[in-house]
Amino acid sequence: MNWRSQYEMFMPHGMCFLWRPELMALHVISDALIALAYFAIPFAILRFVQGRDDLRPRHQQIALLFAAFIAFCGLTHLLSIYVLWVPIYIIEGWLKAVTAIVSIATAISLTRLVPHALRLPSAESMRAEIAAHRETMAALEAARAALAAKVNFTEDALRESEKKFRSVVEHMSEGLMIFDQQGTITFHNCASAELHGIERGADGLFSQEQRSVEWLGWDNEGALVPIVNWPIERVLRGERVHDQYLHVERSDTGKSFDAVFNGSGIYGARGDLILGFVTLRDIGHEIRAQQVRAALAEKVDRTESELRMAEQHRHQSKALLATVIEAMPGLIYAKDRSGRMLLANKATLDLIGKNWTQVEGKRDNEFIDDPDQAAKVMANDRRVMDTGAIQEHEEIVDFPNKGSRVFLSTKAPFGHLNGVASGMVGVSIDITDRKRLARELLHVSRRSAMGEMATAIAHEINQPLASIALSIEGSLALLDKDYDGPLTAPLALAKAQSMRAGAIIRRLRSFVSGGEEMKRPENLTVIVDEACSLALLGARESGVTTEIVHDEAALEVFVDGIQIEQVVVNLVRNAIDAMDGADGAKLRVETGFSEDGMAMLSVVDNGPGVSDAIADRVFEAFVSTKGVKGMGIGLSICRTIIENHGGKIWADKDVRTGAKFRFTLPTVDRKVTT
Amino acid sequence: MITTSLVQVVDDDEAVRTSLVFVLNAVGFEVSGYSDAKDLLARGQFDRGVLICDVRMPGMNGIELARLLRQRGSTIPIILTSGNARDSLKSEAMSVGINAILEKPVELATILAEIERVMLDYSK
Repeated sequence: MNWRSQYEMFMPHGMCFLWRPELMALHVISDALIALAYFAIPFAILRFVQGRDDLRPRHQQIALLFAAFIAFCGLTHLLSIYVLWVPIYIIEGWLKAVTAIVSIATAISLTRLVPHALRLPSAESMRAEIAAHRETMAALEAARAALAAKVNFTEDALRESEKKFRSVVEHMSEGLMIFDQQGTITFHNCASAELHGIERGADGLFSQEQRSVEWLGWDNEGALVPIVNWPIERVLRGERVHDQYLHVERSDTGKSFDAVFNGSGIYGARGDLILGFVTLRDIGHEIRAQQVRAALAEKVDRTESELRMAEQHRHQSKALLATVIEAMPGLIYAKDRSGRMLLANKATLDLIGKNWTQVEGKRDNEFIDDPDQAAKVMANDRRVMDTGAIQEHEEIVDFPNKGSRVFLSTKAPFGHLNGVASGMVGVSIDITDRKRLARELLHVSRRSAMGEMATAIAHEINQPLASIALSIEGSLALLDKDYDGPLTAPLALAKAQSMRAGAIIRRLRSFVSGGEEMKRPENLTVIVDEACSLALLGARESGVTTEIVHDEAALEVFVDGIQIEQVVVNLVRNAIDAMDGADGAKLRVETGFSEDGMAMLSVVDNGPGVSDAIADRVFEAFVSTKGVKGMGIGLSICRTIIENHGGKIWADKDVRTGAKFRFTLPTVDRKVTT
Repeated sequence: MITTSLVQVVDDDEAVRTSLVFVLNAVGFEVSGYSDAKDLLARGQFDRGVLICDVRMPGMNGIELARLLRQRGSTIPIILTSGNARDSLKSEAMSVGINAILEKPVELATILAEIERVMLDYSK
């Protein structure tokens, strides 16, 4: 059904008014005025919404909704006029429906807005508030003005402070350099400028060329550091420079100095360098002071150590001297002017047989038994002190347990006071053995000279002896073969005696000259006989009765006959010497076998004998029972010879009278079997 | 006993030499004496008999003389006399070809025995 057919279905609304003009006019005018008013209000609202930009969007929507609701109400009134003549009630109904929806929505919105609207201040309170605002504003303004004044004051103070700070920085003893993020130095304080040799302008700044300089530096180890503004570069890299020592030489100003550098930077929020600074402390004078101190300390040290060493040395010397004095085998002693003992080393005390407390302050005559010997020693001491010269003396002192000792004493005076010695120091060396040895050597050399002489003499005597013997034999041969007259016996005797003389000479010569050592099988009894014939020369005249007893068995021994003969001669001569021509002197030489089957010789005398105490020692060198007469080596040589032959030699102990010396030698059989 | 042999004696000691010549003559030897090696070399005979020679002599000694004679090819028996017949001398004497050594003073019997021995050795 189209809208025109609808329209033709209804009758205009004017018909309800019966087209009465006055009623029509009333409705038309009223509706028109209402519509007009309703259309005017949305415009006002729109303008309000446009004019108030502080409205919240929700409030704007509510305002626009309200405007729409009014406008739709206006439209319904316009349509009420139109339907008076045209019956478009369907359209009018739909329009009213739309208006109704909008109205409902507006009503809901407004209802919701009511609590907000209730909270809106009233105009009165607004005014009060505004007044309060004004007061606050005024107070704020006053505060601002005060602040401004304060800021001005602070700025002045700041400027003053900066001035002071700058002055401090300027005149502080440490050098200060400030540089920017490019590393360009923008500031040197006085000290820094002076160190670097930089001229600064009146404003405290300096020329651009001097801002970047090349430095040469040496680090702590003395290595050359190839640096261009070296501490500065470290700060630029974000490092801190802490107590970095550098020796700096500036090529441009010719200045050089030693300084300790410290450096750091001030960095922005992003870690970028705003400005850097380096302080440098001149340590040239410190180094010099240190050098002086070190030199001084070294000198003091040296002096101290020298002193210490000297002291140590003195101590050591003293200890050494004491040790040496104590350890010296020689006697060391010191006596004062009156001969009282001041010092005696161990050797001295040992010899005297007393300890130091027994000797201290004593004179020689208080511990030397023989008064003559003590007097001689003291006289020697006195002579040394009187003359003030070092002297050497040979002194003989008898000691109860050491026997008679000979000393070579070197004595020196000490502590000269007005030309008078206050004491003497002596060193005595026991030369008893040495003297005996010297005597020995004299004997030995005399003996070897005798050996040579004996050889020469033997030749010289053997020649005439040979001539004599041969001449006699020639004479005998010229006699008739069967001649037996008075010449026979004398000539034979002459011959025999010249031969005997020759034999003695020969034996003596071989004994004295020794000859080459040659061991061969020999008969011990023959050796003993030959030795006795030599050793006993003159024995009979001195009243010694001799008995030689041989074992019946042949004593074959493997020996150097001459050496064994020497031993036998020695033993026999010792025995004869020991008996010293006493009445009834008896010598018995006996050969035989020992208990262990060795060939044995015994030489027995009835002299004073050998004490058991010394029996074991007589075979040691330089031990003599003959006093000054004996050499003290005879028996030691005998022992050497016998032991070299594999035998033994000893002196019997527990011998009632006299001495009994024996030796054994291996027999030939034994020699062969071993 | 060989009595027909020649014995030549070399000794610088006149008494010894004379007594040797005398005693050997007395027992029947033909004997000639020489005062030193030089004398012997000048007048001596080296093709027969025995040579008795002292060791110690001025000029050439007995050992040197013996060595020289042996070098010259002589085989004459040589008896050396010495006042000191050491072992070393004995071995040296043997090494140069000396036939015997006698130690002075020496008995005639010993001399004769040695002469007989060396002559026997020589004739072998």
